[in-house]
This record gives sequence, structure tokens and C-alpha cells, in this order.
Amino acid sequence: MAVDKLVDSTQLDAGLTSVANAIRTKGGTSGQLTFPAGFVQAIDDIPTGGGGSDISPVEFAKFMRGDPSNIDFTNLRSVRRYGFGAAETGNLYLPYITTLVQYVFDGVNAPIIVLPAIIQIQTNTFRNCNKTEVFDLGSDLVNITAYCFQSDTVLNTVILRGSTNIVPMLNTSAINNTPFASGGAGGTIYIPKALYDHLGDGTALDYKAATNWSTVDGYGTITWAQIEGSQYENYYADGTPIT
Amino acid sequence: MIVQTHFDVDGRDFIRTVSDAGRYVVRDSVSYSEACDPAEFGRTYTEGDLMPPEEQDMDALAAKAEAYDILMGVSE
Repeated sequence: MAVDKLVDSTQLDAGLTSVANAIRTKGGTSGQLTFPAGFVQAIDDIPTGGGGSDISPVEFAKFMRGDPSNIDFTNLRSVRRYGFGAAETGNLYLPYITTLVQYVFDGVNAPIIVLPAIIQIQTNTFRNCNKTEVFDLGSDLVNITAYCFQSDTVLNTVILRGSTNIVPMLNTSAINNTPFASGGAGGTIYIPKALYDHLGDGTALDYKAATNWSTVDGYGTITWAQIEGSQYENYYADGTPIT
Repeated sequence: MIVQTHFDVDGRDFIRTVSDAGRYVVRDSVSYSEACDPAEFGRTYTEGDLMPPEEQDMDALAAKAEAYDILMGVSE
């Protein structure tokens, strides 16, 4: 072995220990590392990849049950069934979501859910949102599906922004076990002024005369209100999320 | 076949329209799994496509399942 320079062994040991500790931390190991083969092997064992990390569904679920209120969901493009579980998200503003499958928000703690771009929902999409009080649904929503809001037990406000046509309710089961159901405490449905002209004779575009809506209206649980001039005239008047 | 039944909501006569074959009922290009209207509107419907199971009346499906079990001797 050639000796061509003097080395401070204390400093060298400290440096190697520091590097070894960094490798052990990154690799999730605690064993002794021999130099150099052990160092090389330990580094080879660390998975390559970008800065992200993969977590298991269980880990994610535990995380979501913790405190995801600081997560910004604004850029979300899709959500799977039970995607939000019972997460403590706080209010949800999802401006890019256009379609939703069943049971997306089941049990989520989101007092207000705002979906400006929503077009198509499936049966049961908003079912079991038992902590959600307000749904704000954008103007392109094509219909209110069967069992849509079923068991949303504290729901008190629905905003339907479509102004060209009534949003058809495809089955009165949409409001089963909600305050809007027969005998329920009731709530308010905000609709555009254009659909607020209640003739009540089935001849005009009028929620009170529309199929299924007319039946629910008969329960006496709906207070109809105009979007225009209300607190819900804009999604966010100042461009900031609802808090 | 379209089936219509009358029911009462707060003293007002309504008609519930369904398909006995588990199909949508259609009016003005909108497909309903169940359509309820004030009787005086006289709205009529045609049968449309078959509904997926999750949109059908689950009580009716349960009754059919029970009937099937009886027919097959699984239960009485």
C-alpha cells in the first residue's frame, strides 16, 4: 500500500461515520457498514427515483384520518370511489373535477363542497356525507342521480347553478334520509332567477313543477332562493377559498 | 311495461311512474329511474334502456331474490 500523504485519522473516522449514518438513515438500516464494500452495497440497495415517495393505501388512510386540512386539493382531476374516506379535509373546492363515481366523499368532514366544473355524477356520489352542510354544484351538471344525497343528514343548502334548464332529479331517492326528505327539518335550494318564476302549473321551466322536484317540493321541506343577490352569487367573490 | 300508481303528498294527488322491467322511464329525452309528478299535469313516459342494478329499487330486487330462493327450494 502506497503512503503518499498524511491523514488525520480522527477526522477521517468522523467523516466516514457521518457518511455511514446518512446511508443508514436513507436506506432504513441500522447495521454496521464495512468500508468500502458495505457502503457501496447499502447505496445500491436504496431505490432510485425522483423526490417523491410511495406510501401504501393503509399509510395514506392513516394520514388522511390525521390532519389533511393543510393539503391543497385544488388541482385534483379525479377521485376514486371512497377517495376521501372519512378524511378531515375541511371545506373542499375542486374546480377541475368534471365527473365523479359513487361514494366519493363518504363520511368526509367537509362542511362545504364546491364543484364548479362538475358535469356527470353517478348514483350515490354524495351519499353518506353526514358532515356536509352545503353542496355548490356548477352550471354544467346534467342531473341529480338516484340516492345522490342519501343520508347526508346535516345537508341544509344545495346550490344548482345551471340556468338554461332545470337539473333533472332522476329519482326522489336522491334526498332520502336528508333534511329535505318528507318530515325532515328542511333546507334551502338556491337556483338561478331564470328558473325561479314559479307558475306551478307544469308549463314553465320551474323546479316546483319539474318531475320529482315537484314531489319533494310537496314535502314542504324546501325553501327556494335565488342565487343572484345571495351570498352564493359567486363561488368566491374575492377569489379565495371559502373558509 | 309502464306502471303508474297514485299517491298523496300533503293532500295533493301525485302519480309515480316506473317500468316493471327495471328500465328507465323517459320523457323529453330525460331518463328517470322513477318519475313522480302532480297528477293534474298528465305527464306520460315511454320505457327506455335497462337500468343498471344500482339504480333499481333495492327492495324490489330483494323481493325478487327471495322469490328466486323460494322457487329454487333454498328457502320457504
